[in-house]
Amino acid sequence: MLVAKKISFFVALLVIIPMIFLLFSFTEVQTENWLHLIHFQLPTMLKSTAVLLVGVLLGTSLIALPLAYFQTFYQFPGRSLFEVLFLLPLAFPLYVYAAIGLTLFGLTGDITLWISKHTGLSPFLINIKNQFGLIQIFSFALYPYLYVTMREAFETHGGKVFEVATSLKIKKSVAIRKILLPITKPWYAAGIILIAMETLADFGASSMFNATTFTTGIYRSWFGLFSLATAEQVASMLMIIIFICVFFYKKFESKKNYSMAVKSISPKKKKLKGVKLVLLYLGYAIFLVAVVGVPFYFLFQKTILVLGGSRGDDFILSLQAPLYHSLYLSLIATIIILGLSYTMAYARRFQLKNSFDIFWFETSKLGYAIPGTILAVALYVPLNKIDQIIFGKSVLTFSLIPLFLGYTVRFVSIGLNPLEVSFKKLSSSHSSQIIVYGLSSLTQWKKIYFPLTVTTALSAFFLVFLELLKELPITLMTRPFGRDTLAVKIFEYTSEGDWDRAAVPSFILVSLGIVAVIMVYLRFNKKYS
Amino acid sequence: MQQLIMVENLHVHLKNQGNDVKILNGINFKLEEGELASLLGPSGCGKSTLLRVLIGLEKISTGTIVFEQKNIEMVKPHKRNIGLVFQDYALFPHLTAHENICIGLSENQFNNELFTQLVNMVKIDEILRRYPHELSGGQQQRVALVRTLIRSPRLVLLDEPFSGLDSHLKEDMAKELRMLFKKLKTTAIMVTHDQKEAFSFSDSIGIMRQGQIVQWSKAFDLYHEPQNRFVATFIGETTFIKAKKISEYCFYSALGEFKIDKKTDDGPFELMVRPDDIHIDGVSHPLANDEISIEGEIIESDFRGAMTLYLIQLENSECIKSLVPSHQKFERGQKVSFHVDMDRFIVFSENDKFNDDNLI
Repeated sequence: MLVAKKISFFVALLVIIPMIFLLFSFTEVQTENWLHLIHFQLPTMLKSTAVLLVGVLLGTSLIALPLAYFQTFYQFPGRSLFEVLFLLPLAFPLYVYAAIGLTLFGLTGDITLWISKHTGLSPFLINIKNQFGLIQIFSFALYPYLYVTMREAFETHGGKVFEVATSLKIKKSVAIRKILLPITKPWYAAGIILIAMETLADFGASSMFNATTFTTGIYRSWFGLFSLATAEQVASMLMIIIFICVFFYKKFESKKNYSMAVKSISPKKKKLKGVKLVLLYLGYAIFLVAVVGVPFYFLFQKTILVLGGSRGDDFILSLQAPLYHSLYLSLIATIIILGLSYTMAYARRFQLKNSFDIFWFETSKLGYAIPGTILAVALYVPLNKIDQIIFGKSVLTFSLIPLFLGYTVRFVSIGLNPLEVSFKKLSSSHSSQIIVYGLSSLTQWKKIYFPLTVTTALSAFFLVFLELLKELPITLMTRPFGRDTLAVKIFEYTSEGDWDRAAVPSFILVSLGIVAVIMVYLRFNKKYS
Repeated sequence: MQQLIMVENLHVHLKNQGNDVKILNGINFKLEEGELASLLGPSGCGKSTLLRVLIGLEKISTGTIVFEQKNIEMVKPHKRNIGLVFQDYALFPHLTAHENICIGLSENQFNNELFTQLVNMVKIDEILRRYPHELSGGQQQRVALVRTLIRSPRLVLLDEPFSGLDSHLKEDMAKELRMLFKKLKTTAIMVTHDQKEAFSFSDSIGIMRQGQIVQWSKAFDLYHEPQNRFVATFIGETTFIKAKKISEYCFYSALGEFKIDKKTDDGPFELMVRPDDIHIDGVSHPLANDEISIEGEIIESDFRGAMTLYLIQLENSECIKSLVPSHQKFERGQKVSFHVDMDRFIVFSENDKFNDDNLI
């Protein structure tokens, strides 16, 4: 089974090689393109990326922190149901949120026109197609990342904090400000950096809002300026920013262990009654209607409208191929990724002992930090070189190989992280026990490894499948001709301003996503039961 | 009784961050069938490594292990007929208690009669369908024990089996385990750093230090006849005062003149004084004709329920301890007279102390 160790190295190489190619792109700088970028795009790119980042971090914090607080420290009927409802935005791809936002609140959006008609307000005032609107969309879509980490932080540390605060006669508000929030900083940082990475990686939503961010810059350089080299160079710059984020993410992740030195006690949940309970329900209801109810109803209603129209049957037929491509590409990629993740997690537990091996293993997990647009560029370049050297024409670049390589590099860590934790449940004593009893390899797998990891593997399967269904930039930039997915169709329809038609593939995608989120939640919920 | 295991001049070196570290340094002991032994010593002295070597999880550098009259150096762990109960019990979290017990046993290997007997003996029949996280520490330990015993090993190794239990449970469990092993006529070696556990469980105890067994005796002998200063300090309460050699078998100390029956090297010397050999007058022990009363001052007391341990300062400022029934109360600063059981005195060379200090 030493092949498991080799697979770890192979995936790490897949992450490293494209990065090296990207950095080497600076050897051939195309001055004209760069002058164009510096004069017209780079300053805006930097400014709008920075404003977007700060806004999204603030927005997600304002949503996630109160939600996590109420869910952890209060008890009320329906609390568990809200737990899953708050995770549902994960089922909506960012670009779908963006498309819905623009259809409803854009300059000619349904709600914009309705408000304008009844209040006399200028549609320009209601229009959300601006930086502030984009920040709102990102905040609604990405807050669950912070919500999940803060729920974990409050759940593990909240009980102890309030017990100590009570014993020292410290007011609750002071305890939250002076103890709870500082102690949970590593979780906050981990969540927020994850959101920062997602924000920097987004391509679909930013391009729908015509925002000039790094990812749209890469796309425009490649397909607008027709310069792969310039696209590579812009990608390298973004990659450096992302790796700075990764550095801080890792730093805060390691601090989590430090904070965990305190033995955790589950917090006592205060029962909410009367007016306070009504107010909480009201707040929750408004929020959920805004982030889940309205978007889902909108997609549903538009789908019914489009399919009920004169050419509805033809349209649904035209979506069969993208749906099929979405499902089979995601399924094949999920199986590949899960197979690799499973083997790597096994290797990490039983084979990778020295720091050199572990370095390779950790490197293989960095792929998630690389935005899809960068990966698409970075994988295309070496494959194109191989094509030219070996075949003299585009063979690999026109195949599914770049697509699957991109998926693997970017999403292997999503499958790997939970499986790694699952294998860690086997201590060194367990390993020794297996040796002492002389269990055969078959028995080891049948009785121990497989049953121990099967639940985690299933939830990892749904997580990876969900991410792949939603994935846009890698698919858009590397798919072979005629392999459009639902995500690509949504992008195409929204690019043409055909919001109604975009709603149908979005509805299918979100419905599949909701099923996957619920499956993943069942495990998340188990953790706290 | 037949000898079951004999360990001779066992050395084990392990790699730690690229360096060769001596973990076991010349271990020797023998165990007869049905004997219960403990390895007692401070953390890091090599106790657990010795168990791992006996079962075959670590390799021997030099030396021999003869088990059932065979050298087992090259025998694989699962073929050694030795069982090991791990400190953390190593129950598989996804298997019920019953599944944990039966793991790896084929239908032919599974002895239903023994299973029923063991399960009833350790009273786990009602928890067999539960998962490890639904069991208390004591229940987990019993399941791990049955999992080992169901394989009918000739020798059972227990690595700090009570470390996860409440202190009041430990001694009871040790006694219970002793009874169970005696009933099953099983030979066992238990590793612990708790002397009370070792006393309750074992027929004989090996005291380990720095990868060596410094004394292998019965519990009584370890306390009353320690072979070196380390054992004397490690087992029970003790104090040392200076002693001067007057003649070959005769010494003088602040407690008076006394004789010993062993020949000693050249001094300087220290006298080991156990607190139960010091009797404060008027408490429980009437003075015999040849006993002399000595004076001292109570400077500290340590209440221990049935008994109180007093620290007494002698006229020359040296201190000794005395264990007194707790209903006899003395105050700090109170002058007391006491007498001693001089025939139980043991003398150590101060060089022994020097060697001990170097080892720490």
